[in-house]
Amino acid sequence: MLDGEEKLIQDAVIEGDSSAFGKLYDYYQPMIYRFVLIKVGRREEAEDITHQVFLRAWQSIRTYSHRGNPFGSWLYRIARNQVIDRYRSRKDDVSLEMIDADTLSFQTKQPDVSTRIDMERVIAAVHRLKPDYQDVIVLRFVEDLSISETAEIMHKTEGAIKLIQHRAIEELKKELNHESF
Amino acid sequence: MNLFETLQKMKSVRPDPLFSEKSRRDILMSVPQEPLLPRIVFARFVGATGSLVLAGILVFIIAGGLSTTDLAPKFSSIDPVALRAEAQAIDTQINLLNVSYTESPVSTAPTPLSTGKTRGIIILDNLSSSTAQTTASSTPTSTVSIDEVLQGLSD
Repeated sequence: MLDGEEKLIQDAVIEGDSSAFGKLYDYYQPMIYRFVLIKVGRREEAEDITHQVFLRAWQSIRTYSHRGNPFGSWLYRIARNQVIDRYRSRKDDVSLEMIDADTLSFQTKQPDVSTRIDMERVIAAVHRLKPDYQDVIVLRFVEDLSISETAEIMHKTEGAIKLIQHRAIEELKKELNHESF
Repeated sequence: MNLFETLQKMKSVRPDPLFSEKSRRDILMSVPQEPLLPRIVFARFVGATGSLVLAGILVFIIAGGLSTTDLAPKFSSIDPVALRAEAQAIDTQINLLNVSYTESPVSTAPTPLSTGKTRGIIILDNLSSSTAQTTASSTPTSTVSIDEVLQGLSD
């Protein structure tokens, strides 16, 4: 959670303060981008959806009601819905060949080649999982969110999240093993 | 490959800074929408439908007015006698049409009996002139039975 987040949310929601929302954007945008990128597997689509998520959030900021949860939970929910809407009618497969060098850009130094290849393999495998499995993998193991935060974002009980997490890991391992043959 | 390690390393994935800057600027330049509170929705609904209802009432008053004493429709221009006469005329026409329809096949369509009659007369002419003359002179269009024709042939 961002320091002074509640004050920023208050300023953005009540006064429509764009600079307050800008600070929230700076903090949460990389997370939402990663979440979307790992789900869709394409950089351009991830950028497009991320932009739509924050645009929608800013457009409807006055309807946001703060209930003590991180602002990010609301953004993740919008992102999930955006991805669902985008892929409701089609299910494109993402192969390793489609994840080119431009797909992954990094904050500081570039990782070594083997790490990069591993990441591309994982992204391609995650893309073949069910949407709920994808969400749990990213939220729990990439973003390090707690079980309760994940449950709140996904509108499920904590028990259900634990079960989905177990199955998602199994499925992901299976996909990676299948891909290596 | 260590799966969990790889997933953790993905945390260093970042969007393109140029994209982030442009997206941020575009979003913050837009204006947030006003929330749709229930009272605002109600006010808009009343505003939109109120004018339609008023227009409808005005049209109703102008077109026919509102009678509180007799709400049943009046058809003063309709004459029941004329209606009855018209209905009878329609029935008659139908009957006449039916008659002409049933008459026409009798007058035009050939029957086996009439064909036999004609053939019988031709045969009589060929074989026995006296019998045929008698038959033809007495009743040129009279009916000649098949028995008579056969009798004539046997003679």
